[in-house]
Amino acid sequence: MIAEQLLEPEELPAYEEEPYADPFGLRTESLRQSARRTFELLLRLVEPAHAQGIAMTLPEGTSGSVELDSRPWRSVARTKGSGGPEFLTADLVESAYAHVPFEPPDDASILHLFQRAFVCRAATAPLGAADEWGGVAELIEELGYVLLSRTFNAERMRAALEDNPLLFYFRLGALAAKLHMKGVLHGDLHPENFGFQDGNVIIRDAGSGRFTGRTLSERERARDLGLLKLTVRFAEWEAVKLGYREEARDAAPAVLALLGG
Amino acid sequence: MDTVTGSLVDATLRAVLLGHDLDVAGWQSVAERLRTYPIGALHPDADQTRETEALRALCELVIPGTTRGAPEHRATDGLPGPLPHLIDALAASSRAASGDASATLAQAQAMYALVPFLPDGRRDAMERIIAVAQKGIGASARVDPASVAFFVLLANVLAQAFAVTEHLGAAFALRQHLSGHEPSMPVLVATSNLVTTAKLLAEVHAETPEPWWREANSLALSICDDEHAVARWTPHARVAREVIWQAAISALTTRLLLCKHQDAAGQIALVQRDFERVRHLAHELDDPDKTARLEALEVEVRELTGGNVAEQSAATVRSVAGSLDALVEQVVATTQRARALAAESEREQAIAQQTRELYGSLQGLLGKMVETLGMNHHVSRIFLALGAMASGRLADTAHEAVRACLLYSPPTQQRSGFYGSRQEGCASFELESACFGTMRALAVLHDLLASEGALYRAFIGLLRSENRDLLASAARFLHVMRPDESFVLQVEDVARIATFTGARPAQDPMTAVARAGEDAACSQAGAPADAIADAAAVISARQRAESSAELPARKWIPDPGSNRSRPEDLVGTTGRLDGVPHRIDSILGRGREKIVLGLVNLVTGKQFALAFFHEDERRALHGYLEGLVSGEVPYDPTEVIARCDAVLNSYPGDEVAAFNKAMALDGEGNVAGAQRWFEVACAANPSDVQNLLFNAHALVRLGARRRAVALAAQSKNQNRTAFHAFYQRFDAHRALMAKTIGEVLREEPDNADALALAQSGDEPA
Repeated sequence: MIAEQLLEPEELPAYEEEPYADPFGLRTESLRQSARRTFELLLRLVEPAHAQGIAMTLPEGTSGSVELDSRPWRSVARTKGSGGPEFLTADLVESAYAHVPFEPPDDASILHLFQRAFVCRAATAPLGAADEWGGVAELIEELGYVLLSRTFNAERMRAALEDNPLLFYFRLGALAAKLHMKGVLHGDLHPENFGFQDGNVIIRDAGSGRFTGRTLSERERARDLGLLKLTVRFAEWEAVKLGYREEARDAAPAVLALLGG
Repeated sequence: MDTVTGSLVDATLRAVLLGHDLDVAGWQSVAERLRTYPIGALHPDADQTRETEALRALCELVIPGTTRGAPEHRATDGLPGPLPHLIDALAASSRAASGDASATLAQAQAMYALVPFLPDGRRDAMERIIAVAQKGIGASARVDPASVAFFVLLANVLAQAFAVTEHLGAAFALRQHLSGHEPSMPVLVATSNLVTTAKLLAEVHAETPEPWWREANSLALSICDDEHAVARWTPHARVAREVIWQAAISALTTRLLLCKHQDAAGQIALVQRDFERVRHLAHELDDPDKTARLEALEVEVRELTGGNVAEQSAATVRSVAGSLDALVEQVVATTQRARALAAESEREQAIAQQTRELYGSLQGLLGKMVETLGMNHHVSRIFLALGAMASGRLADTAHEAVRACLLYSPPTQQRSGFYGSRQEGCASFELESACFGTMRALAVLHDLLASEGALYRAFIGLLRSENRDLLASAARFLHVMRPDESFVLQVEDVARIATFTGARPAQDPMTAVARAGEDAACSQAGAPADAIADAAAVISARQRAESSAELPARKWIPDPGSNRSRPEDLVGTTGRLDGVPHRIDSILGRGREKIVLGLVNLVTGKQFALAFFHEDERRALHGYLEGLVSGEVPYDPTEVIARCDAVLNSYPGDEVAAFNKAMALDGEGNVAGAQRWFEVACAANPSDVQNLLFNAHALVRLGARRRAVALAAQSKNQNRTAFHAFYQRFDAHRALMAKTIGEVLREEPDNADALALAQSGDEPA
């Protein structure tokens, strides 16, 4: 029984980078936390702005979006005081949103939020006071992480990693997902057993492979795929997982959760 | 009576414009009749009382002392025909007799407005007007930009329409009066007119036109630059951009002329720059005519400079690429040297020095980009890439991620404001390339250090502090604008931020933020006592309001002047609830069907909440418009706009609301705003002649003559009878459109729409 010779997912060693790094945006929970942290940081920026009568966002036009005529890249709007409770503070809103779920914002929202935060801060912070910009510096870390990690989705992966060895691992992960979907356990997923030709991964050694003729369990899949973790670097392992996720969208979340997300 | 009055008005027109003698006896007869009954016969659709008053005023001016009891304040605005301008011209003329320069200029301006009413004497009238204007200019100690714009316009019209070029020199000399003025609409218009003057002077001096082209180019460029963005913030932003577009076109066309006459090689970069500016403005203005003009100019630019421009661009790319590679090589070498060092602190120091050098370059480059482009999405991506590296979450993939992020270009269907702002970015290729190269080097450094443990952590710490300093530094270069008319409610602001950030509250985000603030205030131990009391009142009120559906309906009658269509404007207003005086103190919550307001009983001082259900906005507007038509309600443009906005918020394409808002804005002099809403009305009902023709006339006033003529032709094709009825009713519009058709035909003799209107013999041509 090949699968039983493999390590359980929990027994696999962790990479040093694993606790914090997520180059391909695979950790859904980490992305959600980033969205929440973004909201908290923005509230800390919007509170002093409101105190000065400045709003962070701009009025929406008839189309429901900010109009180009308003020159959003260098303008701010004023606030009108009568629009809500006078005691609306960052702490209060933050605590009230404690149980509201957050999903990572899309690319357009990320760009818009940073633009608004920067222009609003520039309008309210004293000139040249670097200490006033710590919040925005943290904000670009959270928003930048979500934006750039999403760069490597299936459509852009090939272009982004052209001539880069990571493309091989991305394809390898996708190939493993295809095998698993057909009920095949490779049993010896190891880079040396595969080749790369014209942008496609080819199997060089399938000696340990086995066609089970049934649907594989998530644990079986995780044990088979997890073998790769022992032989590749962190970024390569993440590329494998990304390829696996792109090929097997339904099964991947549970499999990858067993492998640590 | 009609004939007598009409011919006397015509006689006065000729007296004012051409210096003909007036039939004083006839006017005395008119004045006599005015004492006994109103006339109101010139224009059956006009306000008869106002027209009578206007004629009385004219009598008074023509034969002082002939009328009795003429009102001091004469509202002539909006009266059709030449009457209002005649009165202005005669009144200014009597003031100018005492040597008042501004009155003389006002007289000339009123006279100019009369020209369309005297088509058979246009040239003589123009000669007379420029003589009056010259007198006014000569008498002025300091000529203001609006007067410069006017005089230059007169000189240009005389030269273009009647080949009278003798005033061009005097007009061009007036440019000295523009220096030292802040950018404003009059300065923009005056400069734009002077560009035309310079081009006309180039035609006059056909043997040595180059100095004049250079002048035209220089003047045009002076109002194309972004420093004049301030002017674009005026209520006439669209008009200003149209003027700037004309200037940019002038700059480019004169540059092309210079290229053809002089050494083209020396002008290539400037042609490219001028063309990029035109391209950018065309995208901003998003007008099919301008796009067509852009394409035509692109062909011309390519024909003239194509090979050279391509060669120069390639040389720049080669040069920049070389320096980028050198930067990456330097970073690799530094990392290798650092790794060879024994002490941890020395390694950190070497990497820190290299990092600071890269950030030093970025500081200058990003400062310039932020100053030139603002914080557009393109520049935002650079900062977000820096943030992503400092987050330490990219492992050793930063190089690919940063490259993909910075080189990202949106798909065609997503190009909107982002695309427009990218155009500016593309115009500064070398600046962007240098920035991209520095970012690439920084990303390579990041990836080389990603597996270095403590050294990487120190590097990340440095990135964070450098990012903070870089942001502070870049902010100093951002010229933030704060338009006065732009407002956002605080609660709305926070709700939007929550939505953009990805918050998924169970209810409407706006209500969620308002309620969350109230709930949190109540449960916050350290919150101010009054805040807690307020919150308690709010929550108690909300509970009552939520059960209000079960309570009998109560009657709320707003006090006079307290009826507002926007909820936020209700705060502070008063009214009677079941006959008892109350004041609305706050908005406690909003929902799809109702709004909950905090009320104070002005008799007892008791506070409570009341839910108001939204009236269907369309029905409310229609009721209001019926009131206007029947005369029960006085016409108040502010109220009309507010009521139309209430409908447009829910139904952005509503034809009735869009049209009436446009009319109200037009009445207030906001032509650009009006035109935008006429556009919406046209989109909602493109076969309506009123929509098309009012839009056309707004476009004429904005300078978009070709499109205006196209719309007029379209409306005529739609319904010839309605088209004629429109121009029979609106005299001034007819004259203006006829003038516009003529201008379009002069510029483009084969313009099909203008020809269709002009050659049919129908009105307005």
